[in-house]
Amino acid sequence: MTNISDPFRGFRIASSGLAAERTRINVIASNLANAHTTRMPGSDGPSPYQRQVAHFEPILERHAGETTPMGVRVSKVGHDQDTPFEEINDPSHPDAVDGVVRYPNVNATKEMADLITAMRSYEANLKAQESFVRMAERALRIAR
Amino acid sequence: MDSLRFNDPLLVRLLGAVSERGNVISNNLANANTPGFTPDRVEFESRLCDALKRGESLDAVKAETVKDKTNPVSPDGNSVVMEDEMGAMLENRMRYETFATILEAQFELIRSSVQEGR
Amino acid sequence: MTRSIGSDPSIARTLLEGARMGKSKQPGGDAKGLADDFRKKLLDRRVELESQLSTSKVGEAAPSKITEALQNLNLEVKKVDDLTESFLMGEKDFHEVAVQIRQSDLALKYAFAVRNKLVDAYREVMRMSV
Repeated sequence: MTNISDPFRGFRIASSGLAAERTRINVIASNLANAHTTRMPGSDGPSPYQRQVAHFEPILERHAGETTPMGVRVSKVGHDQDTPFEEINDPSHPDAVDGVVRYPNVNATKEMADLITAMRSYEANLKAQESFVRMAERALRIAR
Repeated sequence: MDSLRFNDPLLVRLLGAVSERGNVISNNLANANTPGFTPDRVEFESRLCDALKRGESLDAVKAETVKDKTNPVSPDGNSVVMEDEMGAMLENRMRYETFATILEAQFELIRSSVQEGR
Repeated sequence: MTRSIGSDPSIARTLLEGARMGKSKQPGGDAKGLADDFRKKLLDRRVELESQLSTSKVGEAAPSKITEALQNLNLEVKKVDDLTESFLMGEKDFHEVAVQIRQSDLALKYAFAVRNKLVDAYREVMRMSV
């Protein structure tokens, strides 16, 4: 466990943000890539890709009765069970069951919006890292 | 030698508080999309001002990290406004620059007096 | 008689003083004897000044000021030696490290300033007695 009064805490926090947003971007990319996957590899019958979601939670380090925020982490990459699959009537489709094809519960527009948010956050965390380094350099300049 | 010791612990405490605020802003940004997250603020300068106005000693004033509940809450419970945090980050950097410059100036004055202006 | 010894007024003064008080070292007021007397007076005066320098109030204050500056310097140097460990342990933030370095540097400059002042003062006094 890192020392609670770590001079580099701010930098580590920003780094955690970068890592978490990176995971989220990967998840969104996977969703977009599989938006039309009606049969997952290695399955016997039709199995539409189920939308994935990156769940974020704050990192809190507990040390001698004090709780110190240490950024953010992806607690898990789960499946979106709430949004139903899209059902399209298309009997000629190889993956049709009773004439209906089930498509992934991925909404491309929503994914793009989420992607933009994730990228903005990624950039913001980069700026936070840079800000930290500048402040540390300014502090050390006092010794010159 | 006492008169030549750098004698402004307030400036050092200010730099510490501004540094901690930087950490807090960083954390707010990292959790900008975390469900249920409320941003934090570091209160120090405002408390110092209040103490000055009331004519109280500044030594007793402590920096404190508090939750900021003034922002609108989105459906997932998050209330971080990224633009606010980015602005706060820039402002914080300027504060750091200011206090560091004052600190350096104080050292420079002492140094000059020790070396008799050389 | 003054002219035969030379035009140095201090020697003349010693001579006249000796003649007035009847204190000639040698019978008849020999010139060499008077010069010896004068030189001895100068040497006595120098010894006197040197002993004053070592026991005067300025002399007493000087060692204690330098000791004080050196003790303080030792403290500050130790703090700088400990800085690496302190920082690794997370006890010190960047600005605290910088402040400690500056402070110790000032302590060193101060110690030097005190030393230089004392050396200058000593030289000044030594210049005076000759």
